[in-house]
Amino acid sequence: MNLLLQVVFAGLSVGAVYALVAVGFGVVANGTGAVNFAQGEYVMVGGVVAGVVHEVWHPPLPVSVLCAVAAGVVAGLVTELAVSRFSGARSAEIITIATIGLAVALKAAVLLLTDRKTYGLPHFLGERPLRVGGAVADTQTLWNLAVVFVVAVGLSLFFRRTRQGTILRAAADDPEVVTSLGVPFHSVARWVFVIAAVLGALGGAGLAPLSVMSYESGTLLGLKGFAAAMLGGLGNLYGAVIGGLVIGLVEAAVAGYGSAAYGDAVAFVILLIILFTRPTGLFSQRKVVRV
Amino acid sequence: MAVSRIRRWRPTTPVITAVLLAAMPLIFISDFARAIQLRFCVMLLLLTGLNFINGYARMSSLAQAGFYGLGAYTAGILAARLDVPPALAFVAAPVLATVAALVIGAASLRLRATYFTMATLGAGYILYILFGRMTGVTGGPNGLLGIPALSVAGIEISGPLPMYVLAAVLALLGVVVAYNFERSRAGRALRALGASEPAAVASGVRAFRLRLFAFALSGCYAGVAGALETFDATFVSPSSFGFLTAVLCVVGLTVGGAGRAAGPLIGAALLTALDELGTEYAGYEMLIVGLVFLVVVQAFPGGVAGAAGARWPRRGARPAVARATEGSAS
Repeated sequence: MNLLLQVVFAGLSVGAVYALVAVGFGVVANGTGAVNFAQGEYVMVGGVVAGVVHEVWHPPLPVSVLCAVAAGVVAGLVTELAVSRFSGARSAEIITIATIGLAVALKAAVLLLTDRKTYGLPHFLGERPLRVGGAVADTQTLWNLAVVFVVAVGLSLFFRRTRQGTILRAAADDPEVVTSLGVPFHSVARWVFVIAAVLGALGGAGLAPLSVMSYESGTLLGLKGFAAAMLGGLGNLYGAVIGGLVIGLVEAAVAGYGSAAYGDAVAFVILLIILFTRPTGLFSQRKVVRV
Repeated sequence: MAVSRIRRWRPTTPVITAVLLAAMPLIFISDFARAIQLRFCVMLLLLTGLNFINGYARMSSLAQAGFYGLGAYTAGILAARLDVPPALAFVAAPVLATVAALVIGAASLRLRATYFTMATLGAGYILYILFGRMTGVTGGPNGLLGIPALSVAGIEISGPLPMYVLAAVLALLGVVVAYNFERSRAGRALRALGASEPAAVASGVRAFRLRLFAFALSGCYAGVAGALETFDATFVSPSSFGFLTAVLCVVGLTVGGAGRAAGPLIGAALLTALDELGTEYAGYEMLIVGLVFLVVVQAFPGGVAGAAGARWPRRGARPAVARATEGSAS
């Protein structure tokens, strides 16, 4: 068996999910300036909801995935309500810290609703793995990569070609101007949180066939996705995609060639290296993050 | 500054802490109660330490659980595996935690607040992974066993009551030091920095050095808390030092009142109560924690202590900035 190819496939399949999470972090950071700690929980919510729907009603797979997306929309709306309606002072720091509370509450709510059960899904494109050059590729890898590709292109079109996308881009550049032109902060926040949550939920549904999902699946995915977002430059769409895939690949390489025990540390080491040496990320040079 | 007016005496945080720590073992005397009381002392140390950086300096650290674990494992590994005298292992724990805080702080304290938070999260998580995966050194997920009893100058400190007395003395010492620091020149400068960085820097406060000092203090306190935990439980397991513990420290301090002397005391009491609730109502307590934190952060940024301070203000109290900038420009 070809270990290199095997590592690449394993890395891409989970890296695609990190990429979706990273894009979510970037969209929220652009719209609100905050780091959204609930981002990983969206993945968990998407995966668990798709799994529950599948297990209880056995609908066709697209229906399960659509339910995950719908759960993502709800989670995004809840986030906006939870972090932007309680206080007048909307500093990025307060929203960031508030999302920690939301993440804890979401996780606990799913724990109580599911009673700590785990959920999975069948593969979307058939259970039989593909054999490529002496390695085995999971069909789910193809699906996840396709989703990332469609999301990247779709979001890029949305931000450049639509009126709402333009407003969100303007809010990323100068939130005060956008507010003074009559677009309230909570409208921007609602859009970015819903987009981020739908991306997360899609990632969760795509991950469920590869590894079972439960209430505690989200936290670590979210933190690794943040590392991916920082690697590509927080707020940079394509940077986030590349960052996610790179972290997935390095993680798989460490697990494949080195020690599987330290695979989880990879994302955090990369996060520290990027924060200490190049906090604007590999591709972006726009924002000043040092004081 | 004018001669201060005669004020009605009010109990200060160290006085309240001393009374509380002395009264608790007299009122509740079972071994079970002693375990809870010791837990309270450990929490108090963790939150009082965290208050330096999260409260006074207003830079949210998520590394407190990592430093706590570093203290616990340092004491445990030295005493159980390397046959270092337990008292020396106990002292080594805060030393190593302080050094770790200095190293991590030196690299991350020049970043903006949100990025500092993420850097401390990353560093704390790496420590947590090391605790669980360096099986040869730490015992891995099964935990570290065989920790000897603590003894100082031939006197053995073991059993619930002696351990509690040690924990209470250390916790009180920690609270007194923090209370005096808050009123010292460096403490006022640090609070000024937290309130407004440009104003403080313009008044001659050296921002980076002061923050590093505050972060090192937070690490030192966590190290003491870790060593206490190790010698009390005579067992160390990585699961106590994960992301959830880091978040709970921030939650406890914020709900208690970050940046206020009474904040850690209230927060530690809440977290200790939560610990007990959690064993009975698994799941619900975290839902409540999340929701309460969500509301407190946004609607009552001063926490319980802040809300109480606004309700019953001290006579002659002036805004922290005015007090804090005094004397820092010389």
